[in-house]
Amino acid sequence: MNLKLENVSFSFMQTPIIQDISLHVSAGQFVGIIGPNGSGKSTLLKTIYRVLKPNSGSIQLADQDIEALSSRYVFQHMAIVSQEATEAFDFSVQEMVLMGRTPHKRLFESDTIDDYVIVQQALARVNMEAFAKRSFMSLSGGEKQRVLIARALAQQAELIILDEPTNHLDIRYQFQLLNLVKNLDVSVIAALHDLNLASIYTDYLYVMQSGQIVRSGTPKEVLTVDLLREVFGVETEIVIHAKTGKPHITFISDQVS
Amino acid sequence: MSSPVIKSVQEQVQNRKIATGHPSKQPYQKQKRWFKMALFLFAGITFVSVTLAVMLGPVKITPLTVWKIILSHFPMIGGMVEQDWSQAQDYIVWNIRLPRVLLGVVIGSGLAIVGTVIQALVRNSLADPYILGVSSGASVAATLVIIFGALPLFGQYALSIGSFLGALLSMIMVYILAQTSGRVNNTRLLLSGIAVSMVLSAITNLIVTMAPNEQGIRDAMFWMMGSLAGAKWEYLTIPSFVVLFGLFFLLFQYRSLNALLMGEETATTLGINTDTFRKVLILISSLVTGVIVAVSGAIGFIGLMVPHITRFLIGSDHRRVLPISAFLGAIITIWADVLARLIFAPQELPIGVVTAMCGGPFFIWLLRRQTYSFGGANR
Repeated sequence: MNLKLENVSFSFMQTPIIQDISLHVSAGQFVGIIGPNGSGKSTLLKTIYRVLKPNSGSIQLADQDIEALSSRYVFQHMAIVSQEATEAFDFSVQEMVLMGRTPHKRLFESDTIDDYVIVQQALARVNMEAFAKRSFMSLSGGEKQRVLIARALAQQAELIILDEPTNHLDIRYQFQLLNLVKNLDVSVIAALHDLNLASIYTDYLYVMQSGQIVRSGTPKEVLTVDLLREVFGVETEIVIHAKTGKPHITFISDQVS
Repeated sequence: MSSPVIKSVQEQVQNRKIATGHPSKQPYQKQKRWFKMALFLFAGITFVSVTLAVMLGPVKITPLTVWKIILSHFPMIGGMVEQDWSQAQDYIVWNIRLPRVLLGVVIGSGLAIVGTVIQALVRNSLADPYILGVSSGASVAATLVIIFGALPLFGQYALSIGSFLGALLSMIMVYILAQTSGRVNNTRLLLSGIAVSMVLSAITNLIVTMAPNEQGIRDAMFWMMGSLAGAKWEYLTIPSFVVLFGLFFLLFQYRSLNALLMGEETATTLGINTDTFRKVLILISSLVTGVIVAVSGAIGFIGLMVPHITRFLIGSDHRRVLPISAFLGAIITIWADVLARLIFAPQELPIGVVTAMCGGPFFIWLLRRQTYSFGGANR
């Protein structure tokens, strides 16, 4: 499922947060957004998933203007996995994933065997089938994220938006999560903090700074010493890693050298 | 993608894809049957509680007689029941105890479902139906009616109509205060509820202190603590209709309610129009609470306690929480009222005192349990 943003801007109380953003995600592509804190990554994603309304510009999902589409339709095709929130109320893992069926359901429609099968398959794909009856609260951070991905899968979305999903995760789970998503055969747009993870997993990168896109291209084109100095204010050494064939960034602290 | 860890996870995921060609349907069916049994159990307890509550009192009546009397009042089957009870018994069962017990059922269920919804709405398990300022608004109007005989126009319905109007006005006030640029914010909703309640309580106290006679003060206090005394069949129609409507409406919205518990943003990304939905929820809760307060005063604790006990028993899924908490609310209210009638008979206690005295310690015990986590963890 492709997604196209043209000249999207959003301001909050007259303060522009993101300006003039144009971006494209084609079917099956893994697109990453990187940028320092406060550069507008989350705001950009929120305008895409309709929590914030852009002040100008257009967002097109599968060549249709997203504004004109119903909420249900949009979220039958687009699912969001964001940072794990602390929940006040507990659900079982199965109930959690079943919520992913919400946009597919009409008011008087009850859950069918099919829904339960979809839930079970979604859990199987993230390797959490055995946890179906467990309480969501009792899971570890990595397990919770996998359940939330299963929920996105149960939503049967063709576009998954990851809003800094690996923030609280151990390195092993960060890899696990991105691997899982990469292998799903869906379009992905992800705000990522870790530049090396972005380098390994994304097909195309957009770099944001002060609410604008300052560079875009493949990780090889984008991740350069000059750009990282300019945007993130860090000194780095970048080599093409022999095994991954991707740029590998080593950060150099002036305290040590 | 060279790490062995990643490889193994990838392989596992691949293997899984193949392994789950035909997932079994069994867990789904098992769960459904389990819930049906729970529902029947709670319906049964409610039925038995109604019967026992009608039997108990200064004049003891056997369960068989109770149901014979009730059936004899039905238009079709009434004639088939052989009359072997006294006129007095008939009067006690049909005109005094039954309407009171049924009012308890309606009010208990109503408070329990509104409590459930309000807790979902503000995503806070401390919230209760009165958080929107309903009871304090109703109290102002009720004390005016009781002490100063306000609204003489409505005759014997002055108290009900007055307190409903009071409830409605205070809710509108809270709602307007909670709005910022067209959206209702949770924290603002809670805080403006508290603020409005405080001001209105002060006004109520002011009215009470200006009361010209002692009796008026007593009556007003009794009303404020909540009571089912003086229940009549006429008082039952509107609340029953409103509570039933509320229950079914909310049951149809169970998916959206569940999603709302995940937070507003997640609910939006599950395709729910959260702004509209929350406004609808506030409206329904206000309507149900307003109608309830108008007939029974502000009976505390049930709307807070019952949703917790229900979630503790069966988890957070609203498809199950709503019907079970409706039954549980009814059961608890019936028994609290029985105690209120009997402990110091012939003197009556306000039911609010009983719910707080018995419910409070139980609730504390529930919270002190290590495993308690506001939901399905303990099944």
